[in-house]
Amino acid sequence: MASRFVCLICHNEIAHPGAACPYCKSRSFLAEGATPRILAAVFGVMLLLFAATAFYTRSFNRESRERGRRHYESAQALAALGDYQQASEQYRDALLYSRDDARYRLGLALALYAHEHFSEARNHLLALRPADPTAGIVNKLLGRLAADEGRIDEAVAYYRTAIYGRWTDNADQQRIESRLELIDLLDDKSRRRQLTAELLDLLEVMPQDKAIRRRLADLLLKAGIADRASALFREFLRDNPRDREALVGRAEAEFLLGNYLTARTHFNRAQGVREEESVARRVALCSAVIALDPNRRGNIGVAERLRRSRVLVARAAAFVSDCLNPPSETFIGPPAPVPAELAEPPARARDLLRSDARRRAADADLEANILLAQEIWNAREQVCSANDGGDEPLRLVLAKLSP
Amino acid sequence: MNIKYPAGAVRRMERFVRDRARLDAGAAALGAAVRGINAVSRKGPVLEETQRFLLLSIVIGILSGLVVVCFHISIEFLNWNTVHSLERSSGLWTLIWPALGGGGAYLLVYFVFPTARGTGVNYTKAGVYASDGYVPFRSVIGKFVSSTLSIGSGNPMGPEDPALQMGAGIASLLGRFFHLTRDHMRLIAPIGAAAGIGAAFNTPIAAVLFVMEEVMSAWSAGVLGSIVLSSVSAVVVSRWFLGDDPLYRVPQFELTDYSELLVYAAIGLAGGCLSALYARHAAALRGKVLEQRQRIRIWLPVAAGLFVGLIGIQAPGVLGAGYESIDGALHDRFTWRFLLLLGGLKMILSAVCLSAGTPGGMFAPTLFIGAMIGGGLGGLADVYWPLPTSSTGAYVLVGMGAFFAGLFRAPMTSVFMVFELSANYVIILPVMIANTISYQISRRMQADSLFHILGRQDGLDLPSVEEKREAPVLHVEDAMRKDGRRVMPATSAGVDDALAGLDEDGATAMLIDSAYGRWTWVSRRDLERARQEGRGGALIQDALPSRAVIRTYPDIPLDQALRKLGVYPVLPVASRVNPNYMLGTLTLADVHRAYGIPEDEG
Repeated sequence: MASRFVCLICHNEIAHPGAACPYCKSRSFLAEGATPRILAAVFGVMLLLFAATAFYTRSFNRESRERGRRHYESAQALAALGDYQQASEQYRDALLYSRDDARYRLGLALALYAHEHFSEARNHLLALRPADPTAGIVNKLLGRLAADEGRIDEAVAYYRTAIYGRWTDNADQQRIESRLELIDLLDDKSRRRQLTAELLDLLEVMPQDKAIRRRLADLLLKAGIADRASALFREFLRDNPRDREALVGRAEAEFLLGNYLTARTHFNRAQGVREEESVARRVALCSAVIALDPNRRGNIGVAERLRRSRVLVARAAAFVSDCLNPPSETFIGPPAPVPAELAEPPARARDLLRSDARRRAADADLEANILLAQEIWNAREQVCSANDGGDEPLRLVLAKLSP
Repeated sequence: MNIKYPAGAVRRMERFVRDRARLDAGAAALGAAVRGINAVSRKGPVLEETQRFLLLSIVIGILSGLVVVCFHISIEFLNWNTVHSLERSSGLWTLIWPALGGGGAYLLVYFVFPTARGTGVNYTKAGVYASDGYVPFRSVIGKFVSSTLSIGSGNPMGPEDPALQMGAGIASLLGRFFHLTRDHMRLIAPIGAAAGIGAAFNTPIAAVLFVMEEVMSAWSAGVLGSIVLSSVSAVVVSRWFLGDDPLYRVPQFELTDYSELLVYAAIGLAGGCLSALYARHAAALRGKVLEQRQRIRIWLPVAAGLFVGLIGIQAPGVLGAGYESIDGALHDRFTWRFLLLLGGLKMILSAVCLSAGTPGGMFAPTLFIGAMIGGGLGGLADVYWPLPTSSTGAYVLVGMGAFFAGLFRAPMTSVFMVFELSANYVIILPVMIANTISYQISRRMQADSLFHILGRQDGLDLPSVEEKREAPVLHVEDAMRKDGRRVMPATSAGVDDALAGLDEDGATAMLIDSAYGRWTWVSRRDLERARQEGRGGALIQDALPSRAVIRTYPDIPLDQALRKLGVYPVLPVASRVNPNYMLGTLTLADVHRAYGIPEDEG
């Protein structure tokens, strides 16, 4: 039976498919009798093709994943052996089969980093970042790369993201490691304020690992946060009273805090475990400071304190005097004229010296001596050059006595 | 009598009533829907023809997307089992596979699928301009099989151009199924082409622009919606099966310093020069091959494949479409010297394969060459440029766009393609600079695009968007008369006066200005009839009925105005800012004069 063609706009019969409808003048491209059958056939083909493509894609993906996995495993084994060049080739092959697998790309980035192909490693890491901007390892490595290239602010930002970012396993440990790396960077670049903030943040989480705690104590000491460092070293000493490094650490912390007696005690105990020249010098320094300190706690009488204060004045005056009149063998020319803005303080220092400071010190009381010593000491900055060295015990005692 | 029911029973009854009510409401809604559908069915289709055409575009997009996904997978499968699996094992097989694949594919095209020869762009375009949208379905199968064999076995060609033709072929088949009118048939092939290339490239916008620029060679608003729909639906299908990942994973980058734009300009310069040289020499080589006897030509793909294999043993990166190498370049894997070497090798190999007739497209090789040149020059700048530079990835991308713009003369497509590939807005400025320079230099050095030259070699003289764009277009302002001799005021225009004016001017009609902005026209014949009837001294508005005229404007193209002149012998040309103010008049004689047609012929 021949097909009857109708216009799909007005449903009137038309002469042949595609002909203009004599009633509505439409040239509807669906205007033919067999349209529903064609539509059904097209959709049927589409469904069949969809199913075939799905099946084909599934096979492809399975094969692709399998090949990628094989290369990945091979790469992991090579990386474990330290052959990062071959490992990176295998990772590349793995990526060839599974381009969207972040593990493969990360593995490649790590291998390239280990193989010192930093630029390519960075590009792969940057390619990973948009999909997971908070990935800890990615940000940590980017931080390292930025630090290596001297982009410190960028490195700090990456490290911070790594610290607060997402880690797949051993997250706490990884975060602490990242923070320690950041702390090392800040310490290396002498960014004291940021360093202190990071150390205090690290103290908040207080890692359990002993090695990390010890490192933290050292870093706190290095950053001048002596009280917290001392507390940590004290903790180590509770576990092992003969821990020489903890003894030295504690001693240094107490030294920074101005507790020279405690510091000397711990330095001495460290020497008891194993003697060392540098520690011996620290013991001597502590002893010198203790012997000079007029306000030392313990059984020293008023006379002794007064004597010590006189010694302070005398040593400060001697030090400044040496600066003003250097020994002849070191004199290499006429003294440079004193700049006008600095004229007053050196003149003051000269006055102090001319007025027989020793006599005045003998007559004055303890507090006045200390003030005088501090005044003379402060004047040294204007008359002494940086190369003049210093009277270390005197400096420490006066620093401790200053308000 | 009050019956006291147990509390549990009351709750059950209440729940039953509630459920029953819900069921009733559901049944009522379903019934209404069925009645609605029935009513609609009885009335016929509810969609306009345009809407149905849009729906058909979606179907084309889906089908093309599915075919292109299968095509992509087939190439990958073959590639894994031939060239890639052998890269690290046997050099002999690396030598043999491209020759086998290329030779086999050529034989298939020659003996089984002759309609699958040539470039997909040109044959789709030929379908649009020469055969009313007819693209044989046999070419879809031919392109699928031959290109899979050729590219999968390591020949340095790309799958995008065959995908374009496959899309066009599928669309054309559907158009024939549905007995589309000739106008719709001509539109349907580009719709399929956009779907094919969109699915292959995973860049829907670039696909739309490419089809507009290169296949249709025209910016047609009427078909834009259908092309967009088919391209998007094909990309959706492709992403559904192959994943959301773009073709290349582009690392983040930024413009480090504005001085760097000079480096991008240099890439544009190099891209323009090299693309022109490439087009010229590849076409010349192909011309030489076409002069050979067929029994010699049949062996050339094998020879080209052997040459490819020989180079591929030393530089496997040039084998196949080369996406991995581009990815490597984007991630700074290679030195600038090696990048330039790869680019140079690919230029030679792809030109040889193109000339030999090895099936496959030129998109991927073009992008490869551009990427390597851009990356190489960027790497060179990184070493010698005294100011800060970006990462190599940025130069690779810009190089891709620049070479593409120079070779295919599709500047808009190249800009958006790079933008879509990188998903980075920062790249736009460098890409625009490099692409514009490349495009201009390439045009200066080589008049025609690669596709145009290849088309001519195949016996096709197809229009290009360039020649259409640059063809001089005359407007009403170029032809209109401004002296006001064909206009008379209604209050004083007598029949005799009007005839005297027409005699003086030689025109066939005159405009009558009835009021400010109200114009009518009168023909010489009417005026003469009025004079014969003894009304020569009367005013025109009294002697003859007034006939309204529509106005035109100075910026209207002359061919558009010409259509109005078929109805009205004279047209008032009005001002755009004051449509009631007449700037001049336009007649057929004016149009003839503007086009340079002598009066007697007009």
